[in-house]
Amino acid sequence: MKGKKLVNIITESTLGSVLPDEIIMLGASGYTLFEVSGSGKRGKREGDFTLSQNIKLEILCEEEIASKIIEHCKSKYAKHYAMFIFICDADVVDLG
Amino acid sequence: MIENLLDPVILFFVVGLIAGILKTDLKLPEPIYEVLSIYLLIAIGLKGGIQLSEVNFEKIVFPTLGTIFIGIITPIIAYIILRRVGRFDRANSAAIAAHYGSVSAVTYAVVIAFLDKFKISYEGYTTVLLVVLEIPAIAVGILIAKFKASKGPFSMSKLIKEVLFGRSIYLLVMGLLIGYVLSPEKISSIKILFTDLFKGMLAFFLLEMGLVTSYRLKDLKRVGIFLIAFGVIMPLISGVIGTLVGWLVGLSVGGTTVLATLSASASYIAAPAAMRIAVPEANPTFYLTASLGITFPFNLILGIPIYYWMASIIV
Repeated sequence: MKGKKLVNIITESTLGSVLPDEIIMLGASGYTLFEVSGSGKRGKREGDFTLSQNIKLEILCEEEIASKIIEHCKSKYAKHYAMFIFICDADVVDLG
Repeated sequence: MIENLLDPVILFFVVGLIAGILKTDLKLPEPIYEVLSIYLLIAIGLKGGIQLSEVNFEKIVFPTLGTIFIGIITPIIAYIILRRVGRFDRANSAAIAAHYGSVSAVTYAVVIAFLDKFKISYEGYTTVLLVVLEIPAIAVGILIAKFKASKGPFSMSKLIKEVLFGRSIYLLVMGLLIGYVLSPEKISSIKILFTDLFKGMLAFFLLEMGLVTSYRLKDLKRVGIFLIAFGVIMPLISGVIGTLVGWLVGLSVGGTTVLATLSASASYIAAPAAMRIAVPEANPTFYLTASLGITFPFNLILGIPIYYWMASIIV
C-alpha cells in the first residue's frame, strides 16, 4: 500500500467547468467529481438549478501536489466563491 | 387581468409557489426539469422557425435592429438606476443590470400562450428577437463589469463561450433552423409533441418555477426595499421601451406585446451563470432574488396584461 493524500473540495458547481482542468494542470493524475447538496455557513444548497448546486471534487495525489492545489484554490477562488477544503491520508491499494 | 389569472399555466405556477411556501415535500426530479427545459427551448425554436419560413427576410431587419437597441439600452439604464438611486457598488449594479437586459424564455413562452389564448395575432418570427436579445444584454453587462469593477478569475474567451455556446441559445437556434428548413408536411410528424402538447408541458414546467421562486422569497428581507421596488419598476420601464420600439419598427399589437414582454423580462438561467463567472464579487442573492423572486412572478401575473394594454393603446 502507498501513502497518499486525498484532497476534498466542496464548492459551487459554477467552478465545475474550470477547476478539474486546473487540477490536472497542477500535476494531479485524476479526480472524481460529485454533484452534492447540503448545508453550511454560506447557507443551504437546495440543489435547484439557479446557481445553488454544489460539487465535490476528490483528488488522490502526492502531498506536494496537494499543497499546490490548496494554494491555487486559496489564491484564485476562496475570496468570492463558497469553498471548503479538507485533506485526509489515504492508503492506496495496489491492484497490480 | 382576472381572465389572465385563471389560466392553467399561471395556476400551476401558483400551486408550485404555495407548495414551496408551505414547505411540502413536492420537488420535481432534476432530470425531469432538464428534459422540460430542453423541450421548451426546442418547441419555441421550432414554432418560430416554421413561421420564419413564411416571411420575407426584409421584414425582420428593423425589428432585429430595434431589439439589439433594447438589449444595449436597458442594461445601461438599469445600471444607472442601481448605481445612482440604489447606491449599489459597481459589481452588483453591473451583475443585476445584465439580468434585466437579458431575457427569460419561459416568460416569452407565457406571453405567447397568453396571445394564443385570446386569439391575438403576432409576428411569428419573434423567436428570432428572443435569441437576438439574449446576447447583447449579457455582453453589455459583462463589459460594464469588466471595465468598472471586476478582475474575475475567468478569461473573456471563456465567458463568450459560456454565453454563445450555452445550451439555451444552441437549442433555440437549432429549433429555428429545423422549423425553417423542413416543409410543414415533414414537421407534422412531430407536431403532436412540440405544438399540441406545448401548453401542458409549459404548465408542468411552471410548477417547478413556482417552487424555485418560493425558495427565493425567503431572501426578500435580506435584499432591502429598494431592490424589491426595482424588481417591479424596472420591467415597467423596459416594457415601455419595448412598446415604443415595437411601434417604431412597425410590429402589430401582438408583436409589440411580445417585444415589450421580452424587454421587461429578466434572465434567471443564462445571466446568473454568466455573472457568477464574470463578476464573482457580486452577491448572487441580489440578482437572483430580484429577477426570479420579484420580476418573474410580476411579469407572469400583472406585467403581461399591462404590456398588452400599453401595446393596444400605442399601436
